[in-house]
Amino acid sequence: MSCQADSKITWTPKFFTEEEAKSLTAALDVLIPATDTPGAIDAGVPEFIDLLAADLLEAEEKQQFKDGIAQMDADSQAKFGKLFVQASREQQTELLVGYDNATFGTDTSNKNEFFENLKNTAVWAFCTSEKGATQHLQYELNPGGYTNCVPIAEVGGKTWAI
Amino acid sequence: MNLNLKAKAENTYDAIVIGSGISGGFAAKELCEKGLKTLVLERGRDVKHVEDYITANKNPWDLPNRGRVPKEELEKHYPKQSRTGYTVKAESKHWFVRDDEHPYQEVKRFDWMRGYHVGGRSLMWGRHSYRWSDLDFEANAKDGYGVDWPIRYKDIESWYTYAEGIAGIHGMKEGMPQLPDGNFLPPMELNCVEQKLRDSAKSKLGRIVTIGRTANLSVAHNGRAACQYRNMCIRGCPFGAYFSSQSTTLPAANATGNLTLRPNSIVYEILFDKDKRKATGVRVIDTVTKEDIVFEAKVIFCCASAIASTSILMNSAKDVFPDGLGSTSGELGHNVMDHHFRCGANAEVEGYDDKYYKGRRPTGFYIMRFRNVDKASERKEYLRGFGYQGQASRGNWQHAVKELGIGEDLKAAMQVPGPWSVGMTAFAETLPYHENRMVLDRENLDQWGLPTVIFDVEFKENEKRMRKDMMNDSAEMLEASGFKNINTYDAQSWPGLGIHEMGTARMGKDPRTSVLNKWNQVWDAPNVFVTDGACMTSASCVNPSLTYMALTARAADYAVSELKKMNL
Repeated sequence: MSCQADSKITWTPKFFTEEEAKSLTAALDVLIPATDTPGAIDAGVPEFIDLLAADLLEAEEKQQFKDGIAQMDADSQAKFGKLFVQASREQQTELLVGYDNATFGTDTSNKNEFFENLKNTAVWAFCTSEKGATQHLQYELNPGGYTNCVPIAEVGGKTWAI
Repeated sequence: MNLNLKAKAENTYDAIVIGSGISGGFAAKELCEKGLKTLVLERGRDVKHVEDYITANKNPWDLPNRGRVPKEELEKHYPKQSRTGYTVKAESKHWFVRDDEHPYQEVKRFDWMRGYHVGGRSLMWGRHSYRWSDLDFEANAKDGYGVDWPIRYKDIESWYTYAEGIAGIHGMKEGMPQLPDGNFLPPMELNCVEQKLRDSAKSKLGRIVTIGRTANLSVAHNGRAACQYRNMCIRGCPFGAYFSSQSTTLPAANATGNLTLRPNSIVYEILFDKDKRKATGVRVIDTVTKEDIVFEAKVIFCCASAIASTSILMNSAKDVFPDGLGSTSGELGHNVMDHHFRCGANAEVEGYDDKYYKGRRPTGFYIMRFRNVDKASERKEYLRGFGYQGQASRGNWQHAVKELGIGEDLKAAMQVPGPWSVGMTAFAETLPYHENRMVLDRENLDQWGLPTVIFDVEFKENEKRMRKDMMNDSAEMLEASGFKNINTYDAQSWPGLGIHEMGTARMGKDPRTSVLNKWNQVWDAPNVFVTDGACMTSASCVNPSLTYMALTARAADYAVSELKKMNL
């Protein structure tokens, strides 16, 4: 689990600063942690989002990521007196749960658009990554046939990646 | 343009086929198998079966940006081709032309979706394959729009049977006159929610929901493998399990030893002998060598797609016919039709949460036309009718985003398949209007110095009036099935977006009002046959490609018999 103050990234960001990349990586690790199946970091989600920002995202979306990461740090400072990467796993979780409630809960008047986009992008990136698709979900390039309307357990018991 | 006016016809064939898509490939197969030395001219690059399907075996994570194409690239190269929303993706964009290299103009919005390569749009087509009925062939005669078709169902029935046998169409027999049953392979299955829709629509409303009849092989057929349920057809099928020129017609043509396939060859003119009143060959620009070359043949099949075939005719024999070969009726380039769609309803489905599937079925359901099919179903508000395409499916992991939860909860939510939903859009008939037309712009030329196309086409009142029923009737069927949260929509439709453009060189009974006769021969040049979408006299509401195949096979058979009788 890479949630400590000295959390390192093993790749060179193309779009984010080193510090932003560390914050983003820490947030993704809390959002989709490694469990008995791989998590966002194992699946390369942080690098993928960095590449996506470099190659594909519009200026506005890029800025939203940068601003959102800065806000996450500011919120962490205000709440816990330290940057997001320096906060404990429990504190990081508390902050993101707060964002999640404000964004996907019943009252969305304080919704966090950065978090909405982050969760959306992270889930997509994870579920279409090799590890996410084949280990957390199930995936077959060539299913070879069509089995239809059977109990979920009879066709693998979990969601097909595509 | 490097015009070599001395270009000599060194190359003479029995037949020339312009275009290698669904119609051109079929013409090539038929003509070659009947013993004609046949030259197929394709304006785009060569595409070899399987080996040139460069994305066919890519996993989602293998595709750049997981398949999303950057906005700058879309804006620069694909501003019009990307209007479909589903074609210009990393897995399929190489099958679509770059708009900046292949421009056209629009008086009103017209979405002209093209692929310039061997196989044409047979590689990316939607594969839905339906027979027309006499409801369609008699429509113009009954309500007075356009001109009467010169043929009826009985004239084409056996050719449908033949074309289905070659292409391999799966389907369920329903015994309904408005959508005749075909020579089907065993049907792919409706899923349980679709079966519920079928049962309810039939028992409560008398409407027929059937499996989408598509050119996907439900079983191995004619040496081609059965469908592997990848639903990645748009990339090209490494199993040859759907009908394309590459999987089916071009190999058959090639096997005869009579085929010469020449990619990178833009036909821009059909050569016309004004004394003999027939075509002698075609003039081509080789896009690689830039040479201008003449090829000669006894018979020419123009199968370049509706708009391209019409452009070639408009650019031919101008010294004899100022508006081009086939223009004496004044109808060449007119009566542009397409289907209008993107209008229907969707709903959520409860009660099947324990049911799932394996495999990605490459078709959905089809609901056959039920409006204006007989006296009882007549509508005062509009003429003709519509069918529906749709499907029921379970959501994937996407629902997990909107559900509260992060960490292990979020991961657990991803593993639960999403809720069942069902959605459909109508595909509806457009009337033939003389004023809906394409013309050539001889001032704004393309990179080859050839005229560009200007579209002036719109849907009119009859189409607009139909859309209310298209929405409400679909909601009615969803309601009859007990589905929840029914939502109707009209997402607007523009001509061309159905990618069923047709009608610009229509068949008819009278040379004064049509471009082609009942055998698809140009009235003004009987050894020129036009068998792609240009020939269509009306549009029906069903997908047209199977009818192009049948008409092409029928015309090729006739052409060869006329050649034997020395009539061409």
